[in-house]
Amino acid sequence: MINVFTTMISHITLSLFCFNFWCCSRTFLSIIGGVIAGIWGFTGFTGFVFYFVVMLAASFGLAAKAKFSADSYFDSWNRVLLDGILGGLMSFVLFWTFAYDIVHIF
Amino acid sequence: MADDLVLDTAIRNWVLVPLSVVMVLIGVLRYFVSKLIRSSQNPDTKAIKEGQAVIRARNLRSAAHLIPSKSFRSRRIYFTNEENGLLYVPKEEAQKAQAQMFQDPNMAMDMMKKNLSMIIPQTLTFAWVNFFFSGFVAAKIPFPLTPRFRSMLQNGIDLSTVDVSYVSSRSWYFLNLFGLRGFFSLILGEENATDDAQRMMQMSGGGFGFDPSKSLGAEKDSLDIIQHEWALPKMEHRAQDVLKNLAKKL
Repeated sequence: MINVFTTMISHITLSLFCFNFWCCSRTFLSIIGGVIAGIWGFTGFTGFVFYFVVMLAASFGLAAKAKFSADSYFDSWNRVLLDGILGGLMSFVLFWTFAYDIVHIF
Repeated sequence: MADDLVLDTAIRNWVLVPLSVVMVLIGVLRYFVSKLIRSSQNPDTKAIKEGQAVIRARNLRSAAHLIPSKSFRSRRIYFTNEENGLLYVPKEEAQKAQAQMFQDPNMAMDMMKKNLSMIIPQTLTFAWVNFFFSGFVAAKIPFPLTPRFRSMLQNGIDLSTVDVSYVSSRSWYFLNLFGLRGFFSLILGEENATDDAQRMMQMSGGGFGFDPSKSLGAEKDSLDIIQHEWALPKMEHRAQDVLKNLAKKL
């Protein structure tokens, strides 16, 4: 039981801090998206909606590149759609705050 | 009055940017220092042997229906018999192994080193931020938060009419702490994903040998429980069904 638990935890942490290329591009996108959201002056809910729109566009792009068949390149649809979203959220918020402050407050 | 305070440009130049820069530099420094310090851990042979035995037993369990009964039984006896089965651990040895794990100096040192290298820079930076950058509004976060966050985010600011969106530099520090993880993974390559993830992975890798007796006992029990059923006799029926379904669809 303890082994099952530890393997579960390691899987979860692996998927949160993912060691793969898809995570790299999502991080990069979330940083750029944060800067854009800040410059355009999104506040509150709109900003988060923008973040999820960008993530969806990225997932769509990846799915299109993989010709919409998750089985040939990935082991599950979850990896295409949901991988790296939460990690990117923190970076998005950081750069969003930074850009928003620089452009609108200071 | 609560919306659109205009803040001094000097705050941006001398608080936000230096704080971020310092945190990035500290992260890079910590990455290199941890690379230098990390001693090569010689893995414990016994623990690895036991781990591999558990994996083999698990594979046997999952593929049991693919081999005939006699081979399955002989494999099972190899694992679970009382004299020299791989998974059998007499009770006294179990206690000794656990006690040894706890007192093993190497593991304790390694865990301490990892913890220290994470905690010390964070503590120092936090103290520095509190000392130098307190008592003024540092930034405005673009999304509104409930007033309950006020005490957390506005620690140095003593006005209660200011919007909760205007935060002090302590919250800028925390925002950086979480947000720069992604940034680090971009500039430092994949291996430095900070604190929790690596620690948990290594604990699960080292914790695999941590309770060998329990996992071995569990594997032995689950192997003993299995009722073996060979899939080959039914294979023709299965093929028949599959083909029937296909023929129906056509």
